[in-house]
Amino acid sequence: MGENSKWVLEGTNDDRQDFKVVGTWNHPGRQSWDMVSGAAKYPTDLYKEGTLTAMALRCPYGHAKIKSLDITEAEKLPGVKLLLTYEDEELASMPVNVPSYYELGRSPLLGDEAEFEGDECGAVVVAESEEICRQALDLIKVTWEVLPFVLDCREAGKPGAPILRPEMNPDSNMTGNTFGAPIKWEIGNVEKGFKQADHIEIIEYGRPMWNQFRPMPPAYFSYWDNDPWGNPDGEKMCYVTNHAHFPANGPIISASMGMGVHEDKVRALTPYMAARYCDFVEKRGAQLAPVLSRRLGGVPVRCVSTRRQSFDANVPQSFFTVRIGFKNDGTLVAVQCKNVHQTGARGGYGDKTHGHLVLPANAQGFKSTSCPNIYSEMEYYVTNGACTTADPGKDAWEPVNLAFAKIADTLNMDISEVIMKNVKVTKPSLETCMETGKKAFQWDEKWHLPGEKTMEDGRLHGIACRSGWSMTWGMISYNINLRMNTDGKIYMPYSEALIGTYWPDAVQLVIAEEMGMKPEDVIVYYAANYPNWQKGDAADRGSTCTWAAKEAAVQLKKQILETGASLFGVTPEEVDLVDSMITLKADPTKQLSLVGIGQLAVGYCGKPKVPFQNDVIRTMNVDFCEVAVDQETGLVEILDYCTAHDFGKLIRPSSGLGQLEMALTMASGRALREEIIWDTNTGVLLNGNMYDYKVPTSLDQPAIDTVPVETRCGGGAYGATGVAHAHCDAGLVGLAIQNAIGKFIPMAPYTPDKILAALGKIS
Amino acid sequence: MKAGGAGLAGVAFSALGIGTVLGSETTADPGGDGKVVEELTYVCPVCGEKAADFGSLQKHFKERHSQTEVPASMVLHINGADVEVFVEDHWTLRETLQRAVGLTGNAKEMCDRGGCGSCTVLINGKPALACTTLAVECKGREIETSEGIAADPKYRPLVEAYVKYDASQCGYCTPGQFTMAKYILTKYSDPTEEQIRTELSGNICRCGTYSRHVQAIQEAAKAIKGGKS
Repeated sequence: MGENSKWVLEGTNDDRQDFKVVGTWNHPGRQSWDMVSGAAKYPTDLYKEGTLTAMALRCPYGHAKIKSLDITEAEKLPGVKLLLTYEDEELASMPVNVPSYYELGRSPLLGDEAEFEGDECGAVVVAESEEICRQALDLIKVTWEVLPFVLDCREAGKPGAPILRPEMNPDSNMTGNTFGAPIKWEIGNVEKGFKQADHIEIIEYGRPMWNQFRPMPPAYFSYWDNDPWGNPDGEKMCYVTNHAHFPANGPIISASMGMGVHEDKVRALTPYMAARYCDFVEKRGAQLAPVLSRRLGGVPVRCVSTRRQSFDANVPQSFFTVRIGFKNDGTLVAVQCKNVHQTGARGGYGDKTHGHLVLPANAQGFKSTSCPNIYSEMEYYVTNGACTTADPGKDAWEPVNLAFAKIADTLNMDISEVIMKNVKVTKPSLETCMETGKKAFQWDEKWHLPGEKTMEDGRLHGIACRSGWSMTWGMISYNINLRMNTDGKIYMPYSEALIGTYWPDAVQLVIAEEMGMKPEDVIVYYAANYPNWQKGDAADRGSTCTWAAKEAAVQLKKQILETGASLFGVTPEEVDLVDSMITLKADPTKQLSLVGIGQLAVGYCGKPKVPFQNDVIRTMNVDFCEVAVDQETGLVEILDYCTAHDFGKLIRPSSGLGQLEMALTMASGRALREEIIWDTNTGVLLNGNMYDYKVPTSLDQPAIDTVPVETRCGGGAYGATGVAHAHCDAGLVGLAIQNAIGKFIPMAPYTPDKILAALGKIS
Repeated sequence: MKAGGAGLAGVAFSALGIGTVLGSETTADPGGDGKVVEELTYVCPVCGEKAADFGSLQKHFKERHSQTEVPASMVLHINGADVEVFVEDHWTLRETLQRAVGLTGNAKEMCDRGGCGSCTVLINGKPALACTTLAVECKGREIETSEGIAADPKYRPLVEAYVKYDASQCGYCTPGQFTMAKYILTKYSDPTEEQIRTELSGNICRCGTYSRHVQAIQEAAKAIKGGKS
C-alpha cells in the first residue's frame, strides 16, 4: 500500500459534517424546464428582425491555397447583401491581441490557405437566406493550388515530410506550444532503474482522432444595437451568442479582440450552447458574425455550419511507446516513455482555436506512481485533417494503466493488486475506491487470468480495472457575488454557458447549506457578462467554484446574523439562520424573516490551493469493465461498467452521477466504434455524418454502476472535486479485452477486425 | 381554428431562451413563474420578425423582402391550433417550425439527415423526423411539438420527472427525446426499460442521458396512471 494523502483544507471547508441540502436529490436545475419543453433557445434557434445568414467558402481539398477568386457573379445574385474575401482590408488585419501562448498558432480570420477539407477559406457571403448563401458560394469561381497534406502525426514527424507551417517552424512540423510543459524530462536515473529491473517490457498505446461531436453544429448569431447604459459617443454594443467552451468569455474575447472594442461592449445572448467537452475550438464564425454585422450597420447576422462542416473539432491522435522495468513482485522501477502527439490544423479562430493548444500527453501520469525513475519525451506535430482540441479524457493515464496490465500479465498477478502496489498515494481515496468498487463489481468472483474463461454462449470473458485521478482544477480564480435583497432571497448571478454539468445548481445547494437557507430562497440567475470564472471554463472546475461560493456564503451569513442580532437585541453569536429565518438559539420558536431587513452583499474571488497537474492528487477513482468477446465475429459487448469515484463530497447527486454516466458512455463509444477516417489519397473526410460516425445510442449504452465515494479530500466546498474528466478514456475496454483474449491490442477503437486479427482469424 | 383562437394549447415561450424564472427547485412550475403564451406568433421565414396575424406577415414580407419571391402559404395544425404560414415546397417541417412558426424545440438540427432524432415531432400521434418531412406533406395532419406537450396538463408528470432526473444535460436533444417519451407513454401504459430504450434508439444523446430517460418515463407512467395529472 502507498502513502497517506496529505493536504490542508482551505478556508472554511472542513467545518461541516451534517448536511440538510447538499447531497440530496430532487433539485431540478435552473434551466431544466426550458430545456425539456424546448423553450430554451440555442444559438441555432435565434432570429431577430432582419436576420441575415452568413456562410463561408469551404475548401474541397485536404490542403490547398487559393490561386484566384472571382466573386463577380456571386455578388450579382439577388438577396446577397455582402461578400467579402480574404483580401478585405479589415479581415486581413485580424487577429490582434492574441494571448501570448497562442502566438505560434495565430491564423488569419479568413485566409487564402485551407488546412483541411471543409476549412473556411477565401470568402464569406451574407445573404437573406441559407439557400441564397449556398447559391452565391456556388457562383464563386475559385482556382485552387492543391498542396501536400499529412493526416497522421507519425508521418508528419518523419524526415522529408511536407512542412505544413513553415512560417511557424521552417525545419519541421513540430510545434512550439506545449502549454508550458517541457519536451523532455527525467526523474531519477532511468538507465540505472532498468538495471535494477527483473523484467523489461515494451508497451504501445495509440488512439485515432475522435470527434468531439458537438450536438449543435456551430452557429454564431450577432448584432449591434444601442448600449443600454448609454454613452456620449453613441457607441453600439455587440451582442453575440455563447458557443464556446470558455463560456461567457469565449464569444466576448473572440468578438472583441479582433475588432478593437473592449469587453464591456460585447454581451453574450444566451446561456445555452449544447455540449462541448473540453472542446476549445471556436470556429471563425465567432468573429465573423460580429464583424459582418457591423459592416452591415448592425443587422443580425447568423453564421452557420452544417453537421458535415462541423466534424472538425477533434480529440487529437496520440501514440505512446513505453519501456517499463519492474521487479518480480510487480514493483515498477523504470519508465521510458515516448509520446507522438497531434496538434492538428488551424481552422478555428479566436481564443484557443488554432489547433495548437493541447494539454500535452506525456509520461505525466507516471508521476503518480512510486516509480523513482521516469524519462519522458514527447513530439507533437501539426497535421491536416481537422483542428484539434483538448481531450475530455486523460489519455496520459492510459499508458500507466496499460503498464500495470502488462506487469499483471507478465507476472500472472491481479491488476488491482498491481495498481495498489504502484500508485504512490493510496490512502484514503484510492484504497476506498478500490475496495468499494471491487465489492460492487464483484471483482473477486469475476477475476481470472487472461484467456482463461469462456462463457456458456461461447464468447470469451474478460475484466479489467484502471485507476484514475479525480482532478480539482485550481489553476484559476472563481468569482462569486452574493446579494440578499429586500425580498429576503439570496441572489447569485452567473453567466457561463451551460454544457450539462449543472454547476450553478450545485453552487445553489452549497450556498443554501452554508447559510441555512431553503434552496428555493437561493436564486441563481443568468446575467450576461458576469464572469464567475476568470477566463475559466466549465466541467470539473464547477466543483472548485463551489469553494468560492462557500466562502462568499460564510461572509454574507455573518452580515445577516449581525443585522438580525441587532433586531433581536442580542449578540450575533446568539442567533442563527434556520430555514431562511433568523432564529434565536436560546428559543428557536422566536424567528425573524429576512424580508425587508435590508440589502446586503458580498463578493469573493479566489481559488483553493490545489494543484493543476496530476502529480499530486488527493482524490481518485477506479473504473471496472467486464466484456464478452465473440470469437467468430470479433464483436465486443460491454457487460458491465462500474465506477467508484471519489467526489470528495457529492454535492448534487443527480448531476454528479450523471457526469459519470456521460463520461463512461462516451468512453464506450470511443473504445468500440468512434474514429475519424479520411481518404488517404485526397484528405477528404469519409465519415463526417451520424450514420458513419457511431455515437452510442440508448441500446449501445452499457450498464453503468456508479459507486460514489466521499473522502472530503478535494479542493471544492466540503472537499468536493472534479468528475467527468477522469473517465472518458477508451483504454480500460482494451484491457478487459486483453483479459478475455490474452492479447494486447495497441490501437483503439477495438473493432472486430482488430479483435479477429489478434485472435489470428484474419491477417 | 386560427392561431389566437380560444382554447389553444399554451406554447412555452421565452425570449432568447431565458424567460422562465425558477426560484424553487422543488415546486418549480413551468406555467407559474414561467411565461406561457396562449397564441402562436407568426414569424417571418426570412428575418424572424414576429407579426400579430398572417395578413401583417404578408405585408411585412412584401415591404421588407421585395427582392425575394413571396412563398406560398398553407395551414398547419400545430399543438391544437391552425397556423397559416409561409412555406416553400422544398421546406422541411423542421425548417418551417424554426423559420415560419418560431417553435424551436423540435427544430434542432443535430444531423441534418434523419440520423439523430433531435427534430422528432408527432404527426397524427406517430413519431416523425421533422428534418426529413416536407411541410407540405403535413397538410391536414396533427403536429405535436415538445412545447405543446409540455403545456398539456396531462403530461405535467412527465415534465416533472424529466427535470427531477436531469434527463437533459446540455439539453440540445432533449425536446426530441421528450416528444418520443410522450409517444412511449401513449403506446405502453407501463413501459419496460427494454421498450423505452428500443423506442429511444433513434434519438442520439452525446451526454449519455439515456438511463435518465428510462427513469423519468417509468416514473411518469406511474404518476399518469395514478391520476396525478
